[in-house]
Amino acid sequence: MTIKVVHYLNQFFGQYGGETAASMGIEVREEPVGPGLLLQQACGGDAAVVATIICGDNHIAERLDAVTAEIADIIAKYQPDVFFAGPAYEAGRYGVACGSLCRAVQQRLGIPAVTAMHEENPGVEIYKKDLFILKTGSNARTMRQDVERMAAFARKLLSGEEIGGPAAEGYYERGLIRNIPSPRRSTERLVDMLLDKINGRPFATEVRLPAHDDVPPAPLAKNLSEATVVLVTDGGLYPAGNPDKMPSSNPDRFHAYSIEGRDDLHEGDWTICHNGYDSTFILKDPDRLVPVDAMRELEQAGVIGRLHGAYLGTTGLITTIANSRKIGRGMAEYIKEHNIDAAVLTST
Amino acid sequence: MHLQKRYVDIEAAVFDSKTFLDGHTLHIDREELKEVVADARFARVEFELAFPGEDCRLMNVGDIVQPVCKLETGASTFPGTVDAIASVGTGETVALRGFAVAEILEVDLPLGTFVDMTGPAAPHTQFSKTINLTIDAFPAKDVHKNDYIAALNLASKKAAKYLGQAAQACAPDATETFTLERDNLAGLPRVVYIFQIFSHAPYTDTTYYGGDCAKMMPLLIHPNEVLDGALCNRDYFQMTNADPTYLYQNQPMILELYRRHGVDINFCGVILSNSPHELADKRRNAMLAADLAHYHLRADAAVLTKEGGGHPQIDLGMLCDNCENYGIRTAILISEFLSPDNAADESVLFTTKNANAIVSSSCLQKLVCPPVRRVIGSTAVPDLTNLGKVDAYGGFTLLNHKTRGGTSQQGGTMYTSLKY
Repeated sequence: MTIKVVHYLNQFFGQYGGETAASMGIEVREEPVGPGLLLQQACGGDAAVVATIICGDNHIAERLDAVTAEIADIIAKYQPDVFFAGPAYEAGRYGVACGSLCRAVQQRLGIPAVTAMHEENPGVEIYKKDLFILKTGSNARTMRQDVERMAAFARKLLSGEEIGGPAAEGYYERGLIRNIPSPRRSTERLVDMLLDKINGRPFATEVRLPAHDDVPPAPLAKNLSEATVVLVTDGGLYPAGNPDKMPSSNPDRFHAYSIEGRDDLHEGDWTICHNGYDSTFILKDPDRLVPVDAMRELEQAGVIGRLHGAYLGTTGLITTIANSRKIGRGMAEYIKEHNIDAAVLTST
Repeated sequence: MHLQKRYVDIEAAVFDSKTFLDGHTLHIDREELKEVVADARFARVEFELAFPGEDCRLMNVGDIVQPVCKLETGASTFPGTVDAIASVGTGETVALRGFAVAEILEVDLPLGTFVDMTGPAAPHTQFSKTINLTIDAFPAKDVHKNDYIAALNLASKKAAKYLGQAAQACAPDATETFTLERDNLAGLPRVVYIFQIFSHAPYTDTTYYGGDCAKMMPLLIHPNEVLDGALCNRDYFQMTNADPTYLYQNQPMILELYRRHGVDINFCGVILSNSPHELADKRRNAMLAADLAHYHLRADAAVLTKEGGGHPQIDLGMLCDNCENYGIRTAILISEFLSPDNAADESVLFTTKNANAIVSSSCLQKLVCPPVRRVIGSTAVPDLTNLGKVDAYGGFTLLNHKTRGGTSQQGGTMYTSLKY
């Protein structure tokens, strides 16, 4: 059974011209074209490039999602076993197009999708988490070798062989992590590493420390007695029934829940969706996580200007930094939109 | 302290009218075992056997214990839990290899765990390779959940001792001696093991001679005590972050340090330190543990492991700093569990530059578990979002920490993590 291959090229590698042809639309040729001929050779006798799809870099860049979908439809018609895009080298619009198409093909057809480009191509940063992107140099001088590596890599993906580390296989680190068997138990590696450290021998830590930003807290822009303060919590407090179906760990969102007209929070009106602590006390008195009662007292006494009429709630349990940033930015936007001056964050 | 473990290998097991060992086949009298574990907090108890490679899933698994028995008259097996409080870590202990007693919980718990005896999830737990005797205990009417848990945690160890006793008179298949006394230690670096346990509250904890450890301050202990039943797992509410008692009985970090003792290190002792939840208590424990290591053990270096979830990582960072400030070089074993969506760079909560030697014990990843023919235990397990339940027989996808020992933080797996 011949392995069916579909290949994507931009206007330049598709031999329609340079920048002047960058606005050309989609062309399909049912044969290998340009670098596709090298690809055909590299893939070997049991594979055939059944279609080459050529598109202008501007045409796809200007309507990325729509044109990606259109091309994905065309690819689907050929029912390929594997899809190649590029190599794109330093061409940015081309690299982004390759990444976008490979991702769409992976998601829609579930087949291996392989691309390659230079490390500074913006396509790497955008798509490396979704796909394997092979490394290339900055120009097409190494085309033959690059295409051969793409073909060999695709074979590995097709055979279901386990893909090794980024250095060994020549792709950009995707920012993912998984378990692999080790011939030495972690405890043995630990003592070995400690002895290297004691003896001043070089060693490589297996786990990198995170690089956190140092964000100084903003000073209050007005008197506290005039400020609107919002309560924010990651303790997983939600209205009874958890209407927004917030998960008990690692959400990527938050919601604002009204406390309008409430002087405190009552047992039974609220629930906890967070597995990291014993919620017995909070369920009995939710104010002990989101202290509406204490804040109302401060509001009435004039210590703060106003308690904002909703609290912002999410669940902080094994929440990834990426999700935390997303939630944090969202909360900051909400706070700006609602002219809130300060936030009190409560946790567990 | 001088401990000899006498290992008896179990290759087969059957239920029979009496309990005895015939070669490497363990015959088990279920009726007598029911009497051994009988407790007013149980309505009834059922026993089953599950074998490696069998199309069988153990659901809602609690503690898992290796059958052992101390051989000297009057010695205590599981002191403070099963037997009277008495020092352990000396004398002789018989231990069955290839066999384990596994608790099956018949109450709902937020973080239930499972064991698959075959299939893609099986390699992620060492208990797919042991013959498992399951204790499926049903709570008596009106029994409080914590009382039921206390009873089951005790029952598994009573059963483990009962089965260990069956091998008392057998010639062992192997023996292993554990002693820190050695002649050739001069010039070798003094390495202390700071063993950070996680005890939050009863039933989310580890017990030491049957005692609660939530308020425990750091203790100097002997590694043999860990290997000989002084330390028991009693964590039922954060189970995905806790190793079962079986791992303490065969504690990988201690076994490795013993292996290297007199070879390239001088294993100078173990400090047992809890991870409390208040910051002031964390600072105090980290200070006291480092002080014990420096002033009392004169350690040159320390290996650090942890149990529990995220906040115990903070204690590790503090311990690391306090040790390094004394000139004690540190290496840390950590499980990369803050990454259920597989992002590589977000595994560690502390940022101290002193933590420059870290080994990964495993990382969190998804496990696809196919449908199975046989299920032991009737309760379903919460799904990935914890909002729904999964059918015990059906195929489901869960995180690897849901299988017992899947993300062992004491070195129970043969994994490392690949950043890709």
